[in-house]
Amino acid sequence: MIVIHVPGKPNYKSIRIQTRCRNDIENRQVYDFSASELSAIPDYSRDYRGAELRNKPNPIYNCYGMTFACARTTVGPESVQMILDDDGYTEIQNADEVLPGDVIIYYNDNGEIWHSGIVVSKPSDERIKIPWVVSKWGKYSEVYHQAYDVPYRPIAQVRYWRITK
Amino acid sequence: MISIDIEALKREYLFANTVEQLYQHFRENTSLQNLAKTEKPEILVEGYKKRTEKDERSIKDVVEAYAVLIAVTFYDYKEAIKIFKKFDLSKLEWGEELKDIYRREARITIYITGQGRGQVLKEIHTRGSGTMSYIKGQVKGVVGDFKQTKSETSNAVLSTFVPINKSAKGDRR
Repeated sequence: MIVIHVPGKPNYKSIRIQTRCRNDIENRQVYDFSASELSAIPDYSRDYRGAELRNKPNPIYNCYGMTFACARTTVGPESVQMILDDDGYTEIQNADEVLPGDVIIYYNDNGEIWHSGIVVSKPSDERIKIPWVVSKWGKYSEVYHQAYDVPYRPIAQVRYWRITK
Repeated sequence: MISIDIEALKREYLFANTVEQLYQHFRENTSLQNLAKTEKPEILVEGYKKRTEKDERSIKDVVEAYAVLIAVTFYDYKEAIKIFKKFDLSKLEWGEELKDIYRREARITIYITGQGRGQVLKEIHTRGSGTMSYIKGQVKGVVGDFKQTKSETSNAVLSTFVPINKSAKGDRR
């Protein structure tokens, strides 16, 4: 395959990914800036209590790409509901029942999907019921953080999902 | 040229999962409102061109190019749309989508009920995403807070607003 890159144009590619019901998931892999800079990006996680970076910044995938596409590509929030429906996810109504491996989805005050991640540990404090999560912060890194410590605003609601069907 | 809060914007750019987040968070950055006030459109267009035509772009180049686009959204709507035509938006991942968001959400035509009912009084710019339900300020002699009562289109481009406090006074002409 010959890849023609036009100078000054973002380099877009996409890969074929589908839901369990064989619906295509739109996606794109983008390098809008030089990859040589990635290692020089500061560690922003220090501004979030207890947060730690899991890897170096990587613009190829975003939070939805990490959560639903094995960190291979960037997926838009408009595909998320289709994935939840097609792949047999059920919402976990009771925060007490959240387990590692569950998907966390953040919603803004308009009810729009705003961010996502994967639960990696149960809440350590039974009173607060906030689990720890790994999520991809845009083009930046995967970050290990408390569920509510994210750089996205406004977060009006979080909901947890698990494949049950 | 282009004096902006680059470190904060770089962070917002890297953290953005979607173009909607980029649009919202960049518009909240006051340095871009100042950029719109202090720089002439032709300087911004030139700045965009210079940054996006590089073969090997830095993060700073990309952030500054987005900053220029967002600064333009603070101009008068008609002028902004005219300026947008001068940009090659395909040079950025979210260039075209950003313009679409601006067109969809930035413009609201206000009608005032009561005195002057149905009359288009002024086009204003709003900020952020989502449907706007309240505005505050002065619109051709009417001062106060206004509440949206009716949206003529699904994306709220045309909306009806009514005064919601007694201090709001209609245009008596």
